[in-house]
Amino acid sequence: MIMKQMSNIRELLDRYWDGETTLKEERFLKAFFAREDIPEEYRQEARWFRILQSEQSVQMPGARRIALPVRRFGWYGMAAAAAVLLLTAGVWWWTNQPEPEAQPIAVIHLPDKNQKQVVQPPTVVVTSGGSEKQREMTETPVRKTKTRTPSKVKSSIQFELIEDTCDDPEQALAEIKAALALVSSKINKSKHTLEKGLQEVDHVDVLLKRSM
Amino acid sequence: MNWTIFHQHVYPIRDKLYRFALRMTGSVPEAEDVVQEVLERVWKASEEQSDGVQNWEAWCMTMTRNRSLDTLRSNARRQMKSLDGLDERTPDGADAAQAAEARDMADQVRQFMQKLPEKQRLVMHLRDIEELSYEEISQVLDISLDQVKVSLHRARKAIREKLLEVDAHIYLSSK
Repeated sequence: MIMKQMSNIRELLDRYWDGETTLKEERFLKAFFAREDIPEEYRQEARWFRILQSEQSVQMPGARRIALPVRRFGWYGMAAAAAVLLLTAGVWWWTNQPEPEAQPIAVIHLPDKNQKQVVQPPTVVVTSGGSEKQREMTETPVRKTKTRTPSKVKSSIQFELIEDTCDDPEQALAEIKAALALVSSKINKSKHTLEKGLQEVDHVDVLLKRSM
Repeated sequence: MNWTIFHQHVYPIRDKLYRFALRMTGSVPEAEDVVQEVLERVWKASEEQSDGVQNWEAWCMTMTRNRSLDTLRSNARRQMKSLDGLDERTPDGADAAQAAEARDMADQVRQFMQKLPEKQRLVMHLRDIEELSYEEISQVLDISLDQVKVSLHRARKAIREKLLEVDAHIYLSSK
């Protein structure tokens, strides 16, 4: 193997001196003669290829190395850069504005859909003029948000209080009872009004059938 | 010129340009000046000038050759105008090498290489040191392919004879 390689080297060298080798073959010769263990019979060629290797490593002296040209920016380039900068800052400012939404009073965990229903508090509408001439209760939409920890969702519906405003649980219970009683009375009153209205409709319906 | 092209294709070969300029002028300061000027000219080249360039290395080598020739011509005129016939330049490179006594075999071969006829010397430099193809050498030196091959063959033959001569000298000196 080694003898065959040496035979190839001699043949390559003969072609090299005759100017018949390719660049690839010449690079192979340079790599071969860069080794330390070169046979004595190749000492002349080894000297020559080491000279070439040395010449190839010559660089411009460091003290006087040339300076890189500075890239030239025209007015268009600077204007484009400024526009991109302003646009980026604007988008960042816009997306980081706090949302003016009401604080939720409770979050309802639904058992199966891994989502919460946030119940918004009733909003108070104040008419123009600075004073509270009219207050009205409006229905607020239910906002759905995905929960970040679905593993905490239990099988039953839960009410998660956002902010606890009562220190005494009994007082809180009394207030809840009072609120529910108020809601119940309103519902009963509405039910009574509805039943009365239905009776009147039935009465009118009977009169119409008789006249026909 | 396009900034990206300059930094990808031109600036990295500055050492090659420097070696070639040094081979032609034989002077370190002049070779540095040549490279500086070539890079500035390439940078300032208009789009029309650089649009059709396929081989940036060969293009820059050609500019280096032309600028080095301008420097050599300028030096020749200066020497002609010198009243006492003395060159005021600090001799270095080839001049210094010729004047200095060879100390080892590598220096002798380098000096011999520098004494080769210009065409042979430059062809050998571009092929054996800068590893350009025959076509690129032909383009850079503005000579035919046949002239490139003949010059390379003659240069290598001369170098080989010099190596044999030096080797024999070393052998006899050791006896």
